[in-house]
This record gives sequence, C-alpha cells and structure tokens, in this order.
Amino acid sequence: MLRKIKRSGAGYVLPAVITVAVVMIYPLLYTLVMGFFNNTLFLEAPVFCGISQYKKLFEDKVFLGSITNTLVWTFGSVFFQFGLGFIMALILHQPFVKGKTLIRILLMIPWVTPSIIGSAVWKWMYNADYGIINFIFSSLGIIEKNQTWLSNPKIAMWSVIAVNTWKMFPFILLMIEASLQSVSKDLKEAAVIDGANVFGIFKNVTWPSIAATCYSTTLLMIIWTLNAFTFIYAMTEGGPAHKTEVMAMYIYKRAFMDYDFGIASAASAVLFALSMFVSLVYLYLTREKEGN
Amino acid sequence: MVKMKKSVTRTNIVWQICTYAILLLVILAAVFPAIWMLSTSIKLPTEQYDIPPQIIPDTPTLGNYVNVLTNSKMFDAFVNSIIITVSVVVITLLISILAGYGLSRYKFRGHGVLKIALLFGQMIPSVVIIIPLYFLVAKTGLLDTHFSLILADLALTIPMGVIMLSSFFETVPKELEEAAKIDGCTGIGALFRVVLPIAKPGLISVAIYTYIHAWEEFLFALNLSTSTKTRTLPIAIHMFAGEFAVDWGSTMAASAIVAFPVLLIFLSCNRYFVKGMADGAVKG
Repeated sequence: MLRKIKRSGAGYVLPAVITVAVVMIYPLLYTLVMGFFNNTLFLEAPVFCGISQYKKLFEDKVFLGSITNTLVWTFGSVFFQFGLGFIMALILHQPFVKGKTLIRILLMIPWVTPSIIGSAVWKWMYNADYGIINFIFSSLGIIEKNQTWLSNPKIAMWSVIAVNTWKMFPFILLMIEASLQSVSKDLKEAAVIDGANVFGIFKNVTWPSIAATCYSTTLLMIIWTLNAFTFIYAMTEGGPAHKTEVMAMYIYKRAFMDYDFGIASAASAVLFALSMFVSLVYLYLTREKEGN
Repeated sequence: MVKMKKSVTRTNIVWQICTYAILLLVILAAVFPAIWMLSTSIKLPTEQYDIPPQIIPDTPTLGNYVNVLTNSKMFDAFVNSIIITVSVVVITLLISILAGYGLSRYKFRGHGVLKIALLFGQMIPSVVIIIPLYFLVAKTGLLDTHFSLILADLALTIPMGVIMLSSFFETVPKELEEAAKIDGCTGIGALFRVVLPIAKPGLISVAIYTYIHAWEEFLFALNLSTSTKTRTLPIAIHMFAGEFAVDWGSTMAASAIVAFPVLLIFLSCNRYFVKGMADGAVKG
C-alpha cells in the first residue's frame, strides 16, 4: 500500500492536500452547514433551523443593500482598473517609449504597497481639513469647498473605489503589456503593407491575440474585488450609513461585532456562491485558451 | 511624398510628447501617495497642517521615526511579523515544491480534482473561511499563537505556490532527472539536486509572492491575534492610527517602516516577480 502511494507520486502532494483540507475545505464546508443553524454567542450549541436564516437574511435591508454595494464596488473598481490598465498598457507598449523597465517598476509601486498602508496614506490625503486632495482640487478649481471624501454618503464609495483602482491597475497593465509582446510583428507589418490603419490593425491583429488575457484578468479582478476587505474596513468600516458596506464587510460585522455566526455563515454562503459563479466562468475561459 | 513624410514625423513628435506627458501624469499619480507618506513622516506636528502643504518641510525631523521605533508595541509587532512571514515563506516553499513536482511529474488518482481544487482555492473569499477557522483555532486552544496565524496564511499562499511551481517544473526537461536517477539518485534527491537549481527563478517568484501576502495579511491577523503577543504590523499600524488620531506624522512614519521592506525586496527582485505573476496568475 505504502509503496503503491510512493510510486504513484501521491506522497509528494500529501502535505499540500492536508493543509488545504484543514485550512480551506473544512472551514468552507463548516460555513455552508452553519448557514442552516442558529448559532450566536449566547447559545450553548448551534440549533438546526432550516432555511430560516436565509429568509431573515433576504428580509434584511442592510444585507440587500450590501449586495447592491458589492456590485457597485466590484464593477466600479474593475471598470476603472481595467480601463486605466488597458489604455496605459497600449501607451507604454509603443516602440519609441524609452526607459520601459523603470516606468514599469514605478507603476508597480501601488500594487506592492500593503493595502493597510495604502489605506492609512489615502485616509490622510482625503482628510477633510488638511488633506492634500482637497488642497490640490481646490487650487485647480475642481471643487469649491473642502469635501469630506470618506464620510459623505454620496461619494464615499467612489473615494474607496479610487483607492482600489490606484492599487490594482498596475497589475492589469502588466498582464496586458506582457501579452502585447506576444503579438506577431510579421502580421502587423503585413497589415501595414496592406494599408490597414491603426484601428484596423488593432481590431484584426492585436485584439485577437490579447483578448484571452483581457478576459481572464478581468474575471480574476472581479473575484479579488468581490472578496476585498481591507480597504473598506480600514477606511470607512462600511459607513457612512452602510453606504460602503459590501458583503465581506457585512459578514465580518455580523460575526465579529454582533456574534451572530449563523447569519454570518448564511451570508458567507451567498458571497461564496457569487464568487464561484465568476470562478466557473474564469475556469471555462482559461480552459478554452489552453485548448487553443 | 517628401511633404507627406514630413507631416507624419510632425504628428509623431506631437504624439510622442503626448505619450510621455500621459505616462508622467500616471506615474505621478501612482507614486504620489508614497512620496506624501515620506514627506509627512519627516514633518514636525506643526508643519503637517501647513496650507499650502510642502513636499520637503523647512525643518525635516526624524522624531516621528524615533517615536515609532521606541514604541514597544510597534517593535513587538515588527518581530511577530518577521517570525510569521519567514515561517509562512519557508513552509509554503517546501509544501509547494513537493506538490508542484508531484503534479507535474506523476498522474495519480484525484490528480485533476486536486488541480481544480487549488484553482478554486485561490478564489474562496477569506471572510468566508475566517469564522470556522476562528472556532477551530479557539477550540484547540491555539488562539493568539504564531502557529494559528501561520496556518491561516497558508490557506492563501499554498494554492498559488503549487500552481506557479507545477507550471514551472513542467518546463524543466525530464531527461535531466532520469539521468540523475540512473546515476543512483532517489526521486527526492533528483528533485533537490537537479530540478530545484534550474527552477530557481520560479522559487524566487513564489517566495516573493508569499512574502508580500503574508507581510500584509490583515483579516486573519485581526481575528486570530488577540494580544500584543502575536499582533502583526498591519494590525499594529491600524491600532496605532486609531490611538494617535491626530498624529499623522507618526502614523506615516510607521507606515513607511512597514512598506519599506516590501518595496526593497520588490525593487531588487522585480524581474522574477513580474514574470512569475504573468505565468502563475493568468495562465493558471
């Protein structure tokens, strides 16, 4: 038996399998099961309660609001991250641009800066009275009076999205720029000789070779943003008036502030289902790409 | 013909200037928060609130750094972060080397399932696993230990590590190990003596990736660490900022101290880092 395991190579993956089982599979299954149990700090043992937690959850206005907030947060962030990353990749890729390595390194700084540090610095820059952002914007005449960027319910979400965009666009830029390097030069030259214009070349030569990377990076970004927690926790804690309370934040608050682990588990299951849906699309698309 | 060529070069120059202008603007936006952090960290409290603000203060001071470094809580947090990060990097590398090698060289039952489970593993929200993990750790009496934080971080780093390394090992020719085995090496011996030296760039990129994740991990540390005994830097910074709500100079100095090691490693190894991410994250 032991020898059989050894020969099959399964022994090599055993430590990884055990770790993954303990820190991922077990917690995940536990969460999914706990969604059907009443489980607060005040109960001695969890009590089975069917789908009543889910009923309660979908009657909770704050939870429903958190779904909307999650969608705004995710699609808002990814839209700007991708837009900026994509355009900057095309700009940086132009052959005449000098010092590409240095530019890449400088642009990567936001991405390697720990999120909690990014939050602290931006919080200071957003400061209503002495923040540099109010100073710059009012000197440029963009705003008339100082704004409270993180505590105004109308703009708080967009202020945090701006920080998330700042942090993540370098990643997209890098991925797209790397795939632009794989675009065939011969095809491009042939298209130029045939008299194609810039847009024609982009549509018929460049896009087909970078499309797969664009799709998969976007989906990866969607998954990461759905799960992101640090920026919102550190900058607004879900406020003002639940306006930035995304699902991850909602779950955290129910579990570790209200100690209602049952409802938090049910909400986790909903968030998990959402991420899995996106992940399946991602897997489907990357598999397609490997097939090519 | 000549005329046309001339107009083309002229628009080219205009476009080149535009390109550099856009690049400069975006680089400035990307780097400015770091500059502002450093600038605030060397200002006296009285200068932090100056309007108009200055990038380089009239009387630069290291007082904020002294303030942070002599704060015993911050120092303990620094030590905790180092213990946890180093352990996570070493364990992740060991486990990922073995599993990556197993996945790239052998076909066993559950081979495909494991690969997909790892891919999905990268996508499970950490907030979904923190609640049960908290209970598990509390029940086994491991709450507020370095071990529990290290274990939790592995959930984030192992899936990515295994995926990156297995795709890396696939590029190492099998013939090399076979030759080593004929010369009397065992399977594991061949892995460590022949494959790993060739796979060095892959190992470095996994190590950097793991390091950055473990160093900045926030959610697990926030819940699994309950005292200064295990508190890591990100949590300490968050609390520090709360404690000295008005002292932005010290907060920025503390931030700079946390960001510095990451930036240093990134700047010295960015070659490996960029390539590893492109191979691991998107190709899967």
